[in-house]
Amino acid sequence: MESLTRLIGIGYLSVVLILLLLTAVVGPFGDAPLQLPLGPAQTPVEVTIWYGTEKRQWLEEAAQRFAATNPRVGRRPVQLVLRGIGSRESVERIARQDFQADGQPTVVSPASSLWLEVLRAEWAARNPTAATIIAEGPDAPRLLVLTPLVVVAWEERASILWKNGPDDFWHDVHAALANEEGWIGVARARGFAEDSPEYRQARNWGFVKFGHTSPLTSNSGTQALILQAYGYHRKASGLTVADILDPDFQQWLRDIQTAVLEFGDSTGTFMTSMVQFGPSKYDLVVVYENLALENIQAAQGRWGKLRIYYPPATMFSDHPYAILEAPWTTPEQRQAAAQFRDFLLSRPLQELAFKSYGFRPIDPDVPVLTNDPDNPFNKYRDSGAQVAIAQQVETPSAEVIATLLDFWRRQVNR
Amino acid sequence: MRAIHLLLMLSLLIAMLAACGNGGAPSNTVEISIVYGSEKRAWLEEAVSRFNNTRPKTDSGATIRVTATPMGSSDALNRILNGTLQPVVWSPASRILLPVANDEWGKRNPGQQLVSEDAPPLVLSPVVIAMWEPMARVLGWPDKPIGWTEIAELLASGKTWADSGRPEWGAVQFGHTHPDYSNSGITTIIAITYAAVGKTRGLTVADVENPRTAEFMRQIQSGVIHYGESTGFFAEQMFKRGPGYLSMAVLYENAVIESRDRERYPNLTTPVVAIYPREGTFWSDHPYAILNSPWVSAEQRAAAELFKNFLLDQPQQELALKYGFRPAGVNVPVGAPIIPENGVDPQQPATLLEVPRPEVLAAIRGIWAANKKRVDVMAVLDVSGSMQEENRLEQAKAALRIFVEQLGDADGFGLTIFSNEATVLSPISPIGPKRAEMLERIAGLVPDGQTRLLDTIAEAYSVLAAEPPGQRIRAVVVLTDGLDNQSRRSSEELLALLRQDEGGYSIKVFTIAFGGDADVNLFKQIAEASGAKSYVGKPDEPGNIERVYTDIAVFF
Repeated sequence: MESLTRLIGIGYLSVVLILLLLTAVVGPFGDAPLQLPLGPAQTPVEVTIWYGTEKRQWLEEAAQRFAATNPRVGRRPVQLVLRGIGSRESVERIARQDFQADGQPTVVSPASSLWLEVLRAEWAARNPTAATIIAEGPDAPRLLVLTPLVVVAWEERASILWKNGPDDFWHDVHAALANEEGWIGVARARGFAEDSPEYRQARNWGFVKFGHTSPLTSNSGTQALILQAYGYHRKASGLTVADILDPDFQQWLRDIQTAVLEFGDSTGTFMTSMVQFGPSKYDLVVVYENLALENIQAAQGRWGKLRIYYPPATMFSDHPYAILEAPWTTPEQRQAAAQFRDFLLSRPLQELAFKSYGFRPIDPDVPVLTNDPDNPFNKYRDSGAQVAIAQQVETPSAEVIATLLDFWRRQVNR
Repeated sequence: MRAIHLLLMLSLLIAMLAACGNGGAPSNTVEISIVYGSEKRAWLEEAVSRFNNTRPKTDSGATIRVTATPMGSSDALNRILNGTLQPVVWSPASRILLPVANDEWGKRNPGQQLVSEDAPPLVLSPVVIAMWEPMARVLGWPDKPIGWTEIAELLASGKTWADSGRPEWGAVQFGHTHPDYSNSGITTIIAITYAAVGKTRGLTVADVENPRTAEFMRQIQSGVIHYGESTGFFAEQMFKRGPGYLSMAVLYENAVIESRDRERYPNLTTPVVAIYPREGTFWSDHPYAILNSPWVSAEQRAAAELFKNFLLDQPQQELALKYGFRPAGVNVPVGAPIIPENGVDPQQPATLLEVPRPEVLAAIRGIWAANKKRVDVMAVLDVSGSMQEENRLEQAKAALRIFVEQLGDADGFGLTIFSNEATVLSPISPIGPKRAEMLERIAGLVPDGQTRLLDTIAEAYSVLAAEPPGQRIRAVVVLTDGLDNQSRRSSEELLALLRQDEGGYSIKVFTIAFGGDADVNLFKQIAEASGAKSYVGKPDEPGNIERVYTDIAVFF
């Protein structure tokens, strides 16, 4: 009997000894007694989405809501990985298959469909054997939300710049930026008397500070440049290569562009800077309407009235959701990506995009003209928000855009 | 039975081994080390402890532990570049240094960037000129906008407050930190350069190299009481000592708000206000930069991202507002304590100065170094017999040699040693021509005799007191390891002597208690009486005394 007890004792101590030895050698393992996996674990289907950062907040909230629905492909759970990357950068890196730490994307969702064309062309040029990159058929790109390009400015300052309204929008901006005395010169040119409160205020404002993102890395920067080109030529369609090569236009554009202190890569960061640093850093910036609507309250909580100004003609960003039929994507991933896409296009998510984040919904069943006080166009009407868009410019040909960007790269790029 | 005993003993032994195998940090802990600009210390320390208390984990289940060390922004950068500091995150006071960091890192590691220049800001505070409200009113505040130009012209004019009918305020005394070590110091010399050439952007190397710019810089620097590494030290000196000590200093807005803290500054009766220079200023925006360096692992990077998000979350951003910072998180509105009642204006600044390109910045540093205020410093070194212990004298000699090497050629340096009596080995004269000789003399010192401390300090002080105040920074740097046992004077007599001059241009007595019997408390009183800083050197910690002397050198 005693030997049995001893045997149990020795056995027990031996097990403890082996476990402790293991602990000493490989470090502690298991920190809870009941961590046994119940049944075989299902590897998740990972969907990596490279998206333009301007829709970060909406997508992040959508991803959380999506996860709460416990989405699955077969028995496998779906896991989303969101990577905010500038529109131009994302399509160029996909074409080069330069994924870095961001993982291989299943979906790319740039700010504008313009960039899908660029992706198709660049991919074909670099990967002649794998003909397609963007899925077609039922998985073909779908538009998620819309937003026009606008200018936001501090009302106190804009009311000096556009004393009689922003009719000659881009030419007024040019004159203000080219004014060597800065705001005080603008106030004088606009006919404010030296003893007027506006004039006295303007003495402390320094130069007129204008900003938009880099046209080489960001969609809104490219669009801003296109609008300026149309603005100079006072038209909304038919922009030609000759228009871009016009030396007077080039000088005019250089005047504007050299007054931009820094060209950021992300429109979202730009809008955030406007809230954080107020009129000390920027007097007026070119951003998407949704970012303006989303941040207007925060900006006013800090610095006073920020107002949205619609250029006489503008461009929309349409946020396509493109599932990639790439060598690295699997049918399961594409299926999971389509599930998330349908989720984004569902009415509750479209309403969320509109009411919380200021995007114009793609879903025609979500009305933008309502009396609902939550409707951002009602909420921010006093700050210039309006549903009606006077005019859209015609998207210039790829050649015109390339010429414009090439001019910018050679003459402005900093 | 014996086998069981044996097994039991073995088990216990191995259990002990297993327990101490990984030191305090078990292998499933990710350490995130952060060096940061010291202005946000109070906020960051509280945020770090909040974060660590949540027992945060990475995706792989490892526990994240954040440790944060305050350090002057430029100082931290230099140490990262020379490899003596390897943090995961660097959060300097402003992004002015980010391009400089990439520039320098790129020279050592071609094609690589140390940090993302888009690193997000954590908290914000504008660079302001902090001034006593009555003085600001004399200059026309708040109705008349005041700029760097007005301040610079005031300092350059050589006028005193007596010219404005307020002789009781004495000289116009100005303070800013050392541009090679501190962010607010760099912004100050950039702003002075802009004011000198009458620009607010587009500064060129030719502008900086114009002789008039150098003259302007020299005139302004003549009003400086001393430099230093920490913006916080200036704020504290100003708020504790009052208008007779420092008329104005370049600080951050949050320091002006701190001055209203009655618990911290119970004797401060004259309010301080923030002047937002009319030509524009800079923001201190505390970017959070995760280093792209070989010593940062992917796991650390991911953990550092989590901590960043934590800092930007609403509760931590609200906490930042409480400490007088403007929150970077856009959803936290700016409100109290950033209100006019506290001497600040939430609607300011109205415009900014452009950050110059790295080569222009280098030129600005160059004209500052050539035109900064010069120092006359007497180094007083204990060579008594006890300095032999713990190799103290040899350590002090090595550190003092580094100190001598840091002085500019036109700076005055003198050396006094003491044991039974004091010997002036070299009276104060420009170090340039005698630097090699001084280094050699220091190397040759040997320990012997008693400690005649107080009389020696008083004598060094009296020599400097014969110089007219305000033309040069005047300082005594004294190191001892012992209690005085040879002087005629009492410590009260010495303190009374030091307290005779309470102006900002007073002679600063920096004290280093270096082990042994040194009277730490007396040394603290001596330094404080003169507006200088006291140090407790640690002979058993390699490199410690070098750091002390280097820190003192930054005041000059």
